Amino acid sequence: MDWVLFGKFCSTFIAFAIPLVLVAYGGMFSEHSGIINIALEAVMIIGAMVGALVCSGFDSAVSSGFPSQLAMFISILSAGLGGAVFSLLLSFASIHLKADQTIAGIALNTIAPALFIISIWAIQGEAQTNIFLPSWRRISLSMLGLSSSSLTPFANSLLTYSLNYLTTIIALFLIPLCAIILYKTSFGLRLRACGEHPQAADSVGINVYKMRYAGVTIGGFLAGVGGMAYLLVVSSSFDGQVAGYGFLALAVMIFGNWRPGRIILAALFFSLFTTISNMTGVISWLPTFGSINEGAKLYNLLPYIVTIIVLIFTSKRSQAPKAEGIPYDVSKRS
Amino acid sequence: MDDKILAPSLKEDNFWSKMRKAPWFISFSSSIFSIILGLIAGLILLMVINPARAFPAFGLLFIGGFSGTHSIAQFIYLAPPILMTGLSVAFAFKTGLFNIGTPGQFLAGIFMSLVGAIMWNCPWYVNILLAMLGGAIWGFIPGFCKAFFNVNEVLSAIMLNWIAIILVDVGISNMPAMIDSVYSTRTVNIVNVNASAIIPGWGLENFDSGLNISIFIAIIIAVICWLLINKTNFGFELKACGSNKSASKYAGISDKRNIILSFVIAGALAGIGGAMKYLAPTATSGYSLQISSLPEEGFTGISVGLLAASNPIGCIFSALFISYLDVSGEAIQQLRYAPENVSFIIGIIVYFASFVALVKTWLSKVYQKDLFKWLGDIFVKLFKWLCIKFKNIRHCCTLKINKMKNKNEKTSSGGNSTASEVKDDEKEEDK
Repeated sequence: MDWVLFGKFCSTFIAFAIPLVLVAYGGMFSEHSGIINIALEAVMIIGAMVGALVCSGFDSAVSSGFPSQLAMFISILSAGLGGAVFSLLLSFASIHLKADQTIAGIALNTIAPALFIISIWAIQGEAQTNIFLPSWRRISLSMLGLSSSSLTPFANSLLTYSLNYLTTIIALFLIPLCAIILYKTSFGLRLRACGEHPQAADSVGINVYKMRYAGVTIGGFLAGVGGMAYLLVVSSSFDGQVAGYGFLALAVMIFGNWRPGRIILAALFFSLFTTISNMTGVISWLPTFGSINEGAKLYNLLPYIVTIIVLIFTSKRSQAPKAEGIPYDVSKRS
Repeated sequence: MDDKILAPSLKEDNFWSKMRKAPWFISFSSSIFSIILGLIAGLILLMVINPARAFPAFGLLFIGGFSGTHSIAQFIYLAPPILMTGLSVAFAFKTGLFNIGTPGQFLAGIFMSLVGAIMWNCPWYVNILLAMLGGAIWGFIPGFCKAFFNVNEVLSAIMLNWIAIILVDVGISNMPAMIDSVYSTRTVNIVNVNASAIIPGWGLENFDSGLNISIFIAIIIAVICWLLINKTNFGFELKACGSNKSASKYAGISDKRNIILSFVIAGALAGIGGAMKYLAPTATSGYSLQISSLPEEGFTGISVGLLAASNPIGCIFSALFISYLDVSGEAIQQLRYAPENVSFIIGIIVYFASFVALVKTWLSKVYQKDLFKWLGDIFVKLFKWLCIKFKNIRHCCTLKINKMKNKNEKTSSGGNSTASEVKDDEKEEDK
């Protein structure tokens, strides 16, 4: 068995799953509070943009001795904060202005890529379309006190390919933390109550507006961090596109039935297909559709087709929060 | 005599009181409201980027589209595809469905029309029908999944968008006749291969070579959609399904059939838009194969449909407005602003259009107020006053001109004119 290739496959597999889980958790927080967050894609873009800008801003400081992973931590944190602030646009429209949440989300999805280009022109100069990330963003083996000779080929390939970012470690803390917050604390219970029956929640003294703001903002933070995690895995420069990953995360959330554990399983499932479509050039035993030009591109269809098929089988018995998408109106208490 | 004066003013008052209660007027003014707010937000953004160039750029947004026959032709060329995708979104919205699959259906239309034009050498009207078919097939899938498996149509449509772009890419790569001999990532220029596939101009090409009749076709289709939704049983069933599914089911309307049909028609409309974009004389560069981004017309169509409050007739105006802004967006690049400023403004407009329900109730309340009645009256009075003033001014002017003429006659006729002129002036002052 080719251990190096297998390690590479595993690390890509996990690295693609992590942003999916984070962003899907972002959607989950928002939907459990009762607001459909179709703007996850936009929040990812804005989060990744803020994170990448902060990261490239630290470049000179790091080269003069500032600890590189602390700089990464600050940029990941600012990615989350950027996402949280941007998602306030959605929560304000859908809570206070009683907007149609789907339309507001679509509007934000239009605004975010435009805002990206506009800010890049304003910050980096005209006709710029990319933010280039500095090379110190990775965690090298020597930082962990390891050397490549002391590790097995599998572990070496696993740790040096796409897992060696701070986002991976942060995500490993954030994911269980979010699950605990949503299902084991009184705050989580109140949040879910606002998505199931806001009138009942209000009648026992829970401020529905505050809870919904909290849900969307936490969701925005997670989606922002997820955007940064996606950016780090995918490329060394950010061009304002996340290739429909936000929508894929939404599908993961629905497939995972709005439950933290199932979302992780769903994300791993999707990540498997994304990884296969990404590694067609490397894995030699996959069929190549020899008679068709550009046949390798057909593997890119996999995640999308699988999503539709999975949704066909799971949508009949979905357990969506009952009050999602309905603006809360105190006068409609019954 | 008195009756004649009173009658028009009463009539105008009635007109206003009818107008302020008309639903179309309220949704129209709420759209205008969101457009104004969006433009203000755009102005603020331009000022944040660079205060010195903001106002010239903002002015260019309004006049940039009329800077020459070429830009006018460009603006009319861009309008029909987004009008069709806008109609597609609006039509599905009437059935309570959100058709975010317009980019995919648009692509299916492009693919079918290009195959018809290049591979099968069909004339333009056949290609449009083929594009309709392609879009309809791509619209059928999310409709079917929604009707029978309760799949969220937003998600399945988004997935189908990406599937469409990959399939079109692979499909065109496997048809060597479609690919340009020089640029391997583009389709051939249709004019060189099959000139009959280009939608004809019927005389419009005399004004500018880029113009053709697709704008008229699109407007006719918009009117047909309006009739279909508002004047037929089928349209009533669609609207009933959209407003209350259970009630319409109880009344014997098949919701499954209506959901599927609505999506199929929406897909066909978006497909026609795809044909209109690439069967035009301006589209000489052909469809370029790129897997990374979906056609923008699809997403712009969502803005068109939402801005028009999903009224097909309103779509005509919002499509023209947005394509005009797009052309102006190219113009503001002269002032070193990113053309994305325009898509930001469009996004903000849609954002404000999303709380249309709130704005509508607010506007209808405002229109009922005495203040507004008073303002309406004031406008009517002001208009009348201006008319009278204008008449007076014209009257004075004619008097003066006559006087001048008289004077001129006098100066030319008599030698002792100066004395008499002075006397005349004195007399007038006395009067």
